[in-house]
Amino acid sequence: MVVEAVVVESGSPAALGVGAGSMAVHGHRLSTVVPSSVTGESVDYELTDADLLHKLHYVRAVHVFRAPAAAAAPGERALSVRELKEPMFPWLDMFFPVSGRLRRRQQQQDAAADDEAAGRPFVRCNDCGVRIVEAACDATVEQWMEAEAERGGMCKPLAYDKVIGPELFFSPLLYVQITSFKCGGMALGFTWAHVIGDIPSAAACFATWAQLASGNKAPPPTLRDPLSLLPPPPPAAPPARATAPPAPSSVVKATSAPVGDHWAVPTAHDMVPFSFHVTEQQLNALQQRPGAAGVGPFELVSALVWRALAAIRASEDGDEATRTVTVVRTTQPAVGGRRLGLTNEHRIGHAVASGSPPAAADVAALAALLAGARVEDAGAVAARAGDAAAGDVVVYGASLTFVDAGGVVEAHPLELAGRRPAHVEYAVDGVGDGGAAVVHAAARGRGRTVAGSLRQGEPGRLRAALRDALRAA
Amino acid sequence: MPSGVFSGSVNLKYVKLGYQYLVNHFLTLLLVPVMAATALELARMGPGELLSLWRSLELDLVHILVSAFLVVFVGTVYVMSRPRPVYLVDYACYKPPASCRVPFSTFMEHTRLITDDDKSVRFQTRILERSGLGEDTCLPPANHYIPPNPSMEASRAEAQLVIFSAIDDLVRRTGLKPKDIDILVVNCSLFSPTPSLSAMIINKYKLRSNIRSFNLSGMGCSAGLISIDLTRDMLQVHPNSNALVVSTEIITPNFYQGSRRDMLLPNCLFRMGAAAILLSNRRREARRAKYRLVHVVRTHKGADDRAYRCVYQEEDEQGFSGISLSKELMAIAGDALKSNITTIGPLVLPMSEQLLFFFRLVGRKLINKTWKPYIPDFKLAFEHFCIHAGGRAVIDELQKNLQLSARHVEASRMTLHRFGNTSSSSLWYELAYIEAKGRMRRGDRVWQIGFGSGFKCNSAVWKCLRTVKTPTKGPWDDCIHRYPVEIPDVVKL
Repeated sequence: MVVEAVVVESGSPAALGVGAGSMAVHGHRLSTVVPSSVTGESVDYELTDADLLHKLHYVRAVHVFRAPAAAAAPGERALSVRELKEPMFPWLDMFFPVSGRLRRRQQQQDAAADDEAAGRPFVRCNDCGVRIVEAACDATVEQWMEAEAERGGMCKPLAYDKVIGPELFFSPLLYVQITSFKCGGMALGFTWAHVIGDIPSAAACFATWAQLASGNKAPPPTLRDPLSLLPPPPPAAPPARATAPPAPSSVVKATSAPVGDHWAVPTAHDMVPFSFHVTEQQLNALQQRPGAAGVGPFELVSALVWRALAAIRASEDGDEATRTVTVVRTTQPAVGGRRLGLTNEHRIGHAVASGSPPAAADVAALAALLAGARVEDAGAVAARAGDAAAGDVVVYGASLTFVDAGGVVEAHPLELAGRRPAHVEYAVDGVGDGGAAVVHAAARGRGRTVAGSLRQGEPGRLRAALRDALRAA
Repeated sequence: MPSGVFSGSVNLKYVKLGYQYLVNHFLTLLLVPVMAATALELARMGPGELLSLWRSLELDLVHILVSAFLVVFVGTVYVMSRPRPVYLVDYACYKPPASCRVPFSTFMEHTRLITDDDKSVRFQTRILERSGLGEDTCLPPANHYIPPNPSMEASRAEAQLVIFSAIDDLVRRTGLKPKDIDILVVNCSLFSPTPSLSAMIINKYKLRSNIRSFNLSGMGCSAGLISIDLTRDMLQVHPNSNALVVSTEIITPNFYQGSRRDMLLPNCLFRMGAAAILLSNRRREARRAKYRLVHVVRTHKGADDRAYRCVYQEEDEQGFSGISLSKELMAIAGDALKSNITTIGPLVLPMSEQLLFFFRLVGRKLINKTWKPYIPDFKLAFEHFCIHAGGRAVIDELQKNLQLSARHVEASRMTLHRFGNTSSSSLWYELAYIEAKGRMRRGDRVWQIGFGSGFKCNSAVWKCLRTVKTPTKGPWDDCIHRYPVEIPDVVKL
């Protein structure tokens, strides 16, 4: 029996199964997992300006595991949902802010602070928990991988599509979707609110859980003191912002209308998922090209996408719209420490194709531009954005955005019951009209996976253009 | 004058103490001078006079033999007609795993996501804030789903989880062999599948085919003491027997999905729990038993319509089944308690209190009708009190009625905080708390009071046979150092 997916939540685009009905994900059952011990009364996790800069964005991470072979060793059998859930309880003890809920500072508190502190979101660590979604897909993992290779964008239904809001009080910061395939394989989809951490932070967090699920012991909860692990609240008086020069406005852009408590980016176009895989041979061929010598895989792949997308958008937006792109470079977070490894420490900058329009430029030249893009800390960007940071800004998608997630898969492997995933995809959701793409090393082999969100109608054309470009290389 | 008042109250205290000592040890105080006088007389008389006194009685062998036989006969009849002592060898309470934990915020979020009715969400928030529960209470796995998943399979799974865990723990503590169980009594009010839960236990542990098993259902939160009463009666009829009593309440099938306020309370208060108790009348168990059952007193107010309808399971307008609690619950509970006290008072209270009560009663009838009735001081009769943790209001009401101090009701309040209202097994969690705190000494008397639908008020009195050493390896072990906690009147959510 094939049933169309019914993942329609208020405020988010309907996420029906992409393409053929048999790939549809259905039968969603929601439950909640909480930390195993009481965090404490009124424990607050303060969000930095860099955190709040990204509040409208979400990290989507999907790991697809094949079914264990019939003759698999006992330690390699598939894990049941209960076995996946059990380690989450001590895991959330370690990452207790993730199971909290957002609140806004009340006006009457912090009497000394000015009005900017009022209404500022923070996380109340009240152990409310993360949402677990159990779903099923009627295809086998092999069929799914074929569809992904053919069409791309198949990972979106494997992660629960829900934004924060309309009630901050009751919106989880993390959804974990466990999708069972017909063959016994499984997909784990994480929907992580960017406000609580960037891609490496999220990946480290998930990897810790996988280690617990594989039998490592968690540190005992009684030894942790939540208050000592949290950073102090931000200073009441903001740093002198009036004297800083106004930032170039292309990096962050305010939303067209205030979003209030419903943290979704208002976009003029429908944003749909997109993914593409560049194999190792294609990557090598790219690097053989003249002028591409000193440039890394991220720059090359991003340059390809930039050029192709500029050509596609030229008719609609004109040549100027895609001249500027945002570049985001991620760094590895320090594990543990005061912020438990949950930081937004990546660096943001932009690159401008000032000479010929990007649609006509040379790939190597664009790649050099991307490599040379001047990036600065997210914190600095937030400080320079000034008042806009306290409001509603768009980072990913203000203009076409490329995120270098580099070796995030290698650095934070998700190994369950001794098996690694067959397919991994990290992407960002909730992006602006410019679209965004995350480039990272693939799960198997040394190719690159590009995944993200683009405007409706663009993924198909972009995939065709990329295939042509890589064949010509 | 303050010092005058103070010295006056101190004088009154000593008068009370003196009065109690005099009345309670009346016979001793009477006999001691008589025995002393007799001993003095005998000493004065000397052996020669005693011998002549003996000869003057003119007793011959037949007289002596018949007298001896009479004494032996009366003694045997007396010994044989005494009720068999019922020993509580040990008991085990189920400790839910951390993966069943439901913090307040999660409960409220689930409620918000399940129902659209703003009013009932706000109502449940208010209940939870004032409930006296803590953030550690647990619900079964099926209730962690949005919406909860109350299938029969999930209910059976919960029953197996809690009951088998409790029994396994009891077997570990006592070394009980399944083949040694002669009587099995299970009580679970709201879940009664076929085959029964007692059959489920017999199947799992391969109990004997001639076991006497009973399954009590529908009898409410006081059914635990009803099971104890039934077991005691069975142990009078069957000599040399072991009895396993299992008290539990299965939460999964009873989640109320509607919005009637009087039916939403159980959702907020009931949590998962179970207790397994080993009772025996075997003489050799007396050596290692923890308690001996002294009295069980059952009071049923069902003849009164108001009491009968006070806790009533029915369907609301939308067809959802729930248990409605009437607004008069506290008043009816107070009434039931008074009836129970009237019966149990003469059995346990020292003579001093009974006399005071009697004289005050006579005075009210004959002299002055406006005198308040005397409330006997049960703290003289018991060292420990286990009041069913039905809710904060119940414990407050009983503390007021029985004039108990905060320390006496501490076990009940802390059990409500840590485990919630686990229905019939809550009395055993409270007893475990007292033991875990190291307060249970040999010779202490414990009063367990249970309330339940019907309306019933049941009491059991136990006497401690050996001091219980800590750590007790019970459900409180990992958190007893945190207790007692200060429970605010209203928790801010």
